[in-house]
This record gives sequence, structure tokens and C-alpha cells, in this order.
Amino acid sequence: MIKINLENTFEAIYVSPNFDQYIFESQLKNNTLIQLKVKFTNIADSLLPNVYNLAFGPFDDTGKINDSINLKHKDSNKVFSTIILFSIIFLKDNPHAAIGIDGSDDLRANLYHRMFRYNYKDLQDFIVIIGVDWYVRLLRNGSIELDDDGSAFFKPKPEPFDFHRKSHDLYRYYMFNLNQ
Amino acid sequence: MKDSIQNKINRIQEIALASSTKKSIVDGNIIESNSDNNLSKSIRNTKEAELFFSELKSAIDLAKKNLTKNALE
Repeated sequence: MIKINLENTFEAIYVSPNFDQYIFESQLKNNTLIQLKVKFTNIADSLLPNVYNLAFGPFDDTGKINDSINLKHKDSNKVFSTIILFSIIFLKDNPHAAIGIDGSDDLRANLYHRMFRYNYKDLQDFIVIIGVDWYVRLLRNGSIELDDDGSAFFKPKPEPFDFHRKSHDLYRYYMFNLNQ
Repeated sequence: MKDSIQNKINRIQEIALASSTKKSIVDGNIIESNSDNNLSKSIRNTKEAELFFSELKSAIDLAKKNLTKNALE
């Protein structure tokens, strides 16, 4: 279980002027030191306005973030605490923004779900955690609302993170805002 | 907020400010998708975005109430 402690974080070795990119170093279990990048990107989805997707991971060969690699950190708690601290700093600089996390697979989504559930009491002074499900509207004629390309028109529906939801009932997307 | 956490935040902000001129990247307005080249889709999505904002605000308010309620219990 990930335990967030904002007093125990790695030092940033790079911070962008807009507070949307950070680099820090973490030691892996095999004692390798690896640079990790944290980046907040406006997902430019008009259905999720002002939501910035959180991506983190090591650099790949092209210099982009490899967020699908599975790393064994010596101190995962410190890694995630650092990422949450950077997220809070980004939100302090952009108080109208929300940060979104989309687990790239069920394993990661499960990790984020349990991390928020386990740490919400410690995080509540800083952030408000929101869970997002996607719904499609049922029309009166019995069909469902369709997008322009004929596929179901799903819309995001945010709600306060339900801490009673179990791991088999994950949200599709996780968001958090600054608690201000 | 604990002083130690605030000190960490201050230190990171100093690193960023040393980089170059700072510019806020969010202005608080609804950001339109560049891919919205269809007017009706754009109007519809703007409406949905406003609805999302409203629901998000309600969700945040409710979450804050729940936090206060849990703290009192």
C-alpha cells in the first residue's frame, strides 16, 4: 500500500517555469539511479475543460515519458509523495485547473484507487479528490445518444470520490483539485 | 500547512522562478478543443463542458462537506 507523506519527498533537479514539468531521481531496488519526469498536460478535451493529465515515468529513447514501464522503486512511498507534492504546487499556480489520472491499465488504476482511498485523510487539507464515470444518455425512443461518428456519446460525470467503492468498481478517471 | 511542507514548496518555486520568465498557462476560461471543426458539435460540447463545470463544482462542494462531516464524527 502506498503511504503518502509530503514531508518525505525527493528533491527536484528541474522545475519548469510554469510548474508543469519536474524531474527528480529515484533509486530502484537494483540500486540503479533513474531520472523520473512528471508532466501535466492540458488534455484539450472540450468535455473535460481545464483538466491536466498527469504523466510520470523515465525518459524513453526519444526523450518522451515512458509511462507504461513497470519500475521497482526502492521507496515507492517517497516517489508517489513527490509526485503528489509537485501536483499540489502545479495546482497552487493554476488554481482553476484540475489534475486527472487515467490508469493506463487496470493495475495502475487499482493502484491510484487504493492510494487515494488509503491516504484521503492526510490529503484532504490539500486536495479534493473526484472520481469520474462515463455515462451515455438514454433517449425517449429507447435508443442512446450518438456522437457524430455514430458511436455512443459518453459524457464524463464527476462525483466526490466514494471511499467505499472497492477495487473491483474502479472509476474510469481520477481527478483532484486544490482544496481552497 | 506544516512549515516543513511549505518550505519544500517554497524551494521548488525558487527553482522554477530561476528558470525563466513565468507565465500562467491556465486563465480559468473554458478551453475549446482544436479538433472541433463542426459548429454544432462545438456548441454541443460547449454546453456539455458548462454542465461538467457545474457538476464538478457540485462534486467538489459535496466532497468538502463530506470531509467536514467526517472530521466532526
